[in-house]
Order: sequence, then C-alpha cells, then structure tokens
Amino acid sequence: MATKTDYFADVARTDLMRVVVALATEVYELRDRQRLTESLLAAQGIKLDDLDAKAEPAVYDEARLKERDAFVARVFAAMKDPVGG
Amino acid sequence: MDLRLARPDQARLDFVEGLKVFVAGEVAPALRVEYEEWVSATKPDEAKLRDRNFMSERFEHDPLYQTSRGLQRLSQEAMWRETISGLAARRGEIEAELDAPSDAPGSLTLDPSLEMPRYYDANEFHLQPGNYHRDTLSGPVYEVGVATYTMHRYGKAGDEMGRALVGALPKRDFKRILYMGCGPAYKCYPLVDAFPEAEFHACDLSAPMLKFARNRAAEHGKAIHFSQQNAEDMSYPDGHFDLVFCKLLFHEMPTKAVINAVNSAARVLAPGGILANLELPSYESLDPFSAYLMDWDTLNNGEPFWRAYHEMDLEAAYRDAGLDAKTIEAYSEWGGAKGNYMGKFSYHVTMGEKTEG
Repeated sequence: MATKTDYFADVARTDLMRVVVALATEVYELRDRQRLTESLLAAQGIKLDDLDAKAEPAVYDEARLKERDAFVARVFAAMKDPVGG
Repeated sequence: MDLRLARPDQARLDFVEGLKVFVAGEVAPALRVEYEEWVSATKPDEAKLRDRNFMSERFEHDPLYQTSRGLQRLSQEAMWRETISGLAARRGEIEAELDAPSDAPGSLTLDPSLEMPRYYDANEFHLQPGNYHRDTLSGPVYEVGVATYTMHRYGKAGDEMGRALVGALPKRDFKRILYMGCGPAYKCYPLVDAFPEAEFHACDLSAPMLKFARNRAAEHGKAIHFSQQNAEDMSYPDGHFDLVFCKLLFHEMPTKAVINAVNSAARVLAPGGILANLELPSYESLDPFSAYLMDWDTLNNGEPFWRAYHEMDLEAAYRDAGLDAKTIEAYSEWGGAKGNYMGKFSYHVTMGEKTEG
C-alpha cells in the first residue's frame, strides 16, 4: 500500500472506512457472481437445494479455509498497519 | 445431535472465525513487535511492565492496540450473533431432542428450586447472550460458539483440555470421580475413557447445559451421572469421591465462591482423594505483555473475575480446606504446538490431596 494518509479527524474511523469500502467491493462482486451462477445452473435444470444444506465448518475443508483466510487478510489489510501506529 | 449449521449460516460463522484468526495471527504479532521496539527503546523495568496503569498509559490510545482489541470484541459479539441465528433456525428440532428421555447408561437429575448465585445470574460469560442458563439452546450455542472462539484449536472433539488433564493426573485406580462445573461436559470424555471402571459424576448450575450434556454423553456412549448443583454447596455425601476436578471453572467465580467450592470439594473427597483444577497459565508465568493482553478480558469479554482469580492464592485455599497443594504444568496441544498471542504455554493444574480423614 502507498503511504497512508489520515483523511478523517479520527484515525480509527479512517481505517474503518477502508474496511467498509474493501468489504462492499467484495460483497458486490460476490453478489453479481452468485446471481449469474445460479441463473446459469437453473437454466440447465440443476436444483440448488444444496446451497442451504447443513455444512461442516470451513476449518475442516482446506480449500474453503484458504479462501476465507485470504479474504479476511485482503479486507482487513489496513488493520495490521493503522494510521498513526 | 447434529449441530451443523446451514451453509449460509456456517459461512457467516466461518468469516467471523477467520477474523479471529487474523487478529491472533496478524494483528497481535504486529502489536508485539511494536511493544518490543518500545521496550527496547525505553527500557522500563519488569515491575513497570507488570503495572496495568503504566501499560495502559502507553497502549490504551495506541491505534494498533485499539484495532486489535476492538476487532477482538466485535468478532466475539458477531460470533455469538451468528451462532445463535444459525441454531435458532432449528430451535424446535433441537429442543425436541433435548427433551427426549434417554435410557442410556448414566442419568440426569435437575433441581428446579436451585437458586442461581447472583454473580452467575448477572453475567454473560464470554459475552454469550443469555449466559449459560437462560436459553434452552445454551448448550448447543456454547459448543458451536466456543469451537469458533478457540478457532477449533481444542480439536474436532473439543476435548483437548481433558487429554491434558489425563496426562497430568497421577496414575491411580479412581473409583468415583466428580466433574464440577461441567457445562456440556464433552471436555471430560478423555477422563471417562481413561478411567473406564470409575463411576463418573458431573454437576453444573445450568439446567439447559445439563440437558445438553446428558444428551451428548448418551449419544457418545459416556455413562455420566449429571446433577444440577452449586459447586459451592454440593449435596454429595462426605468422602464420596476419590477424584474431583474442574476446568476453567474457578476463573468464572468470585474469590469467595472459589474458596467455598474448594471447601465443598474437600468435604466430598475421601481421605487421600485428589482435587485437580486445570486453568490457563497464571499472569506471572507469562511475559508482561501477554499478561497485559490476557487481563483485557476482565473488563471486555464477560470475565469479571478473571483478574481476581489470577491474583488470589489458590494453593492457600487448598491448604485451608485440608488439602496439600502444588501447581504443575499440563501439556497443551494448542499452547504447545500452534501458540496464540501468548506464545507457547502450558495449562496450570492446581493439585491437592486430602490429608486428613
């Protein structure tokens, strides 16, 4: 990340806004991709019941775990190096 | 009982756990680097580093400290919110299972007249909404929530502490064993397995927790006799047990209640019997910064008696109750292998043998 600047009076709020923006970006991309995926599957006659079936925690599924940790690290990157820290 | 959540609910909880992993694995180490650089530059002596006021002056307004503790608090709140939301979607199904009678070995005795101690009724331990006793789903919520809270480092069976305690106990042929403050009781299964000939008892204040514990034990083939009792004033006969143990119980009780529980345990122990209390490491055994971070829970994580527990003389309470006392270490797979913000640690087990008849 380039040199960080405190755009808000409260340094914590600046980093929180960074998180919100990063998170909203992720959420929007996922929503768009999900909508597209479900429509493609439905068009092929595939039932989507498994989407809401019971599931084990991600910690027992290496692929999901890796994706989760990468997601958190990306969204919360600013928190490791706060403005003023 | 199947406690798996629906995929969308589990995904939300997975995210919260990921946030906890991030705080423990990324933010806390960055904070420690900052601490070590500060210590290196200013060279305060250890007494100052163990002085909460001195440390607070340095860290309470530190952005990285605030971020670390803020995320820890928010993730804890989110963890319970998502756990409860996921399980409440199946409330009817779970309650029906909890209410179903069981003829499996073991038993359940509830006491609807048992008064909850004020300190217990007024608190929400670890911020669990409704505490352990106000929601019929308290037990399942605890199990799913705590697995997330500890980032699944107690093992899939959640029994890591039980295995640690088995490793610390003397090899004896215990005939009758009591688990005080058992909660959902799954942490004691390694003891049930290690002493298969023993008659196994467990008590707790919370009826919902005990109903879940009984259901779970029956499902796992563990013959445990559960009873709703206050550890401070148990109704078991004098000299009834040759092993009484508890895990992470005393730090949830005010000092006076701990002393009462030690006395109560000593009364129900037979001569030569053992009281064993397994806890997280003491402040003084940790480096000053780990101890300072640990102490944060006292005011911010539903652990109002955490600090007082660490400052009380538990071995003296044992001796006053007629038990000899020593504190030994028990190997922690979590603390030994993966560590956390405290670095490597062992559990502390305060062990006391009843010396008089």
